[in-house]
Amino acid sequence: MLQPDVAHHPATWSTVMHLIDRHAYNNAIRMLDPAHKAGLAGAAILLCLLLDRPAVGVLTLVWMFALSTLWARVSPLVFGRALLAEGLFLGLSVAGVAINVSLAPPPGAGMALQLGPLWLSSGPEALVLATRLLTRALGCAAALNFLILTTPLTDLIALLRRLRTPETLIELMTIIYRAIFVLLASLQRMATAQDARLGYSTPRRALRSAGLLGSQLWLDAYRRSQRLQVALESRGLDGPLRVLPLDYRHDRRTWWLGAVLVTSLLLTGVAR
Amino acid sequence: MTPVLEWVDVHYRFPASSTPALCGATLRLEAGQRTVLLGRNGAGKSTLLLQANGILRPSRGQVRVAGVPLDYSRRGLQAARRQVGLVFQNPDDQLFSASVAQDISFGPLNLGLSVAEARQRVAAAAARCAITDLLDRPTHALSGGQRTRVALAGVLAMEPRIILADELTSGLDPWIRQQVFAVFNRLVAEGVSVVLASHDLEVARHWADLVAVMDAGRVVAAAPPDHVFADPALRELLGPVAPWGDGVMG
Repeated sequence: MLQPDVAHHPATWSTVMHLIDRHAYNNAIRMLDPAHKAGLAGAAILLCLLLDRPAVGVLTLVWMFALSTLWARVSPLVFGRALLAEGLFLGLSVAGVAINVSLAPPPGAGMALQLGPLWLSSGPEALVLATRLLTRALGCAAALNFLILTTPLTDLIALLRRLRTPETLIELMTIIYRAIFVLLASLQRMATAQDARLGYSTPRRALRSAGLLGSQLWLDAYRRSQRLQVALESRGLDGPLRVLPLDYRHDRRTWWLGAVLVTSLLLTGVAR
Repeated sequence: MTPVLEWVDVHYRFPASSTPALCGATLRLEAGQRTVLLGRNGAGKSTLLLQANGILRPSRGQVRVAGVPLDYSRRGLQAARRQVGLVFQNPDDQLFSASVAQDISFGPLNLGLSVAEARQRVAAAAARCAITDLLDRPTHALSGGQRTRVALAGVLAMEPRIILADELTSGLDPWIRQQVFAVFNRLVAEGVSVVLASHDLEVARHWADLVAVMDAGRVVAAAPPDHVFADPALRELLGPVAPWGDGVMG
């Protein structure tokens, strides 16, 4: 049985972050140039948006699932889990498009259902629109999942640097990404200490504990930022955060994969 | 012989504090010396170390690196930080990059070295700290002991003449401590002066050439361990060797 306090415990939030990160570092195409991986994902997203047909969205999803599991050897379960979370979120948003809620019976043809004073209705146009939105968004989400599950953020940051992104933005991303994990560790320690003193025994106490935790975490982050500044200055910080560029593998097969992906999406998009 | 690092009558008070953190601290370090800096919590050990590379500036007194008074201009501070390396107790305060290799490369690149030279420095420092196999790992996936060695490598890659380590070895298991001390011993053999701020009396007694004792913002003694531990007043100041036997709280 699920322990009652587990769901309220803030430490459970951190697992998804760690899961994605672990796969990003341990997959078969980890050392492939991030520009190539981002190129594949980017092309898929662009075509998904431009062609705007449910079949293209579904095909993109299939492609990205195949690339992640067969090429990068990411576990299908992990890819599925990430997509399920996004799918649920998208499903809820699209429900608003597909279903119309009104107080009066809806005019015209279509399905309608009365729930007390409320009328829920839907029509073919609304359903088509909802399907288009859902498949398009899911295709894009799958492409992004492929990218984040195979490429660590350090590589994406390095890529943004190559693309001449402003240095300040790059530095912020570097430090925030590191801080996420440091603060997650802090959060976990604090939450465990609260939990050990029964801080999460009831939903009411859990809410109070989480509030206290939030304020403490902010203080912790502030103190840490000051200590980090001292440590960086000690190592000669003098302007931008300079670090070594990473070495990547280049693989000709990426070009072929890219060509086949784009062609298949284009054919699906323009076929009648 | 000119000392490699010298604090001369250093006074300092933190902006929001009513009591001074340092009031007339004086200490000199030689090349190739192992120094352990002892003193109770709040005695001023960390503050003294932060004065050594110009992070803090004395309100009175002087810090001299290789006989030259510290110059607090931008260029002067860069020069001081090239020579004086500071390693912190909590590696998470120092490691800013999620890539181990990139984090270690930060110092060398700040020295103005080329990418090729920085790569060599990273490889050499990693080999010294026995973390070559960790270079491609993300920082947050490392254990505490591994992170400590990465933080140490990040400072060693700058090849400083003086290493100041603030409680670096506390909280590490004996095996990791052994590795860290092995790194220190090799540095000392090469003429680097190593200072360890610590509460570990055993390390002070058996490892140090020089034991400096701080109390209330002053260095009250700086002598070989035999002298320090033979002095009853200093022994009293340093505290009980077997704290579990005194029953102070009961």
